[in-house]
Amino acid sequence: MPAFRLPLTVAALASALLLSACPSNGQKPIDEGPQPGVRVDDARAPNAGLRLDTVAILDKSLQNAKGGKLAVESTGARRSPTNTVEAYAVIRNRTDFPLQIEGRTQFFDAVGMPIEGPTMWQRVMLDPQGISSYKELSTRTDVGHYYIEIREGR
Amino acid sequence: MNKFLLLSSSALLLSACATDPNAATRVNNSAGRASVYEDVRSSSAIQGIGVESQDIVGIADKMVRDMLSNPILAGRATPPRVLIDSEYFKNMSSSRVDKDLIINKLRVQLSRAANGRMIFVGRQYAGVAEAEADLQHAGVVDGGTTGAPAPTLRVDYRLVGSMNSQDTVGSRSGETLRYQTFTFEMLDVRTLELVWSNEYEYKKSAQDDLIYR
Repeated sequence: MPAFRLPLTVAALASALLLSACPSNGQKPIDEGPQPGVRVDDARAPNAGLRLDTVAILDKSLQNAKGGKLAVESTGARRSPTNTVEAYAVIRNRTDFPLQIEGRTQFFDAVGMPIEGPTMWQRVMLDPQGISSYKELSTRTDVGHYYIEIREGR
Repeated sequence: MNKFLLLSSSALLLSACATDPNAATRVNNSAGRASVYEDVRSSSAIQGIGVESQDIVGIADKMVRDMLSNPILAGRATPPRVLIDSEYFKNMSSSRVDKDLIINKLRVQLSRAANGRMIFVGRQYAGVAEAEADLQHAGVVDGGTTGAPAPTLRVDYRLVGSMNSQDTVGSRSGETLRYQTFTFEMLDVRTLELVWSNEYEYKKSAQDDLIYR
């Protein structure tokens, strides 16, 4: 009897492994069709994703907090006399050379839905070690949030 | 044997002529270079010191946003009637550009964004209303569904402005530098008061070997 026990145990284990590899209905998934878009939610990539009411620096050479060329001193938004929204960012050139950067803004409503396409890239000249500001107005009045992007001038 | 070879080679040559269409027309039947779509909002590989797509889009974007933050133009309980055409927008600069390219972009963007805060008058199409009224009086067409012919709208504000430039050319290098400004103003047509003004400017330098047309 013990002579037959080992093969039976091995067979049972193999069957269990095979079954667990398959979905509950016993069929193998087929890799077909488009893949759903996913939001990157990974502790190793804390800067991935959209953070509203902030300034994002797109170019790697400009963005590093330690050796990056730019510092964002302040950012915010206010209402204009016609109730549109003006978003701004005060930017400092950390280098000893003049810099040309470009900024654009996207406006979102209170629940985070984009209500205006990104504005046109607006050029900002920065003197060596100098401070300059980027400002942009919305066209709509139902703005709840903004998102400013900065890149090197091109 | 020699006759046989001669006949065979002639037949081969003739058959080759008959099947190759290029042999008769000498057409360069290569694929060619495909056209490339580019972003109108950014500069492209072919760029000079003149007015380019990113400037036109940038001008319209800046002016629309600024006009809509002005309470005289966009904050009135009764929306003002505005006329945005190129009749009083002068190109005094050395840049060769169709000024309607700028003004049409501005009018369309403003009209879409204003969303009822301004009323746009199409004075440039005044002849359309007159021609339609004439046809109705002649009995060629009926009265339509929007009522009897009405007087066209008198405007409150009209766009005026100009493009100006200053060129500097390096005599040895041939490099050209252009400082270009675009001035836009809204004129109260009753009092000639300028109720809104803004400008867009750039300074570009390049070997001016491009042709703008």
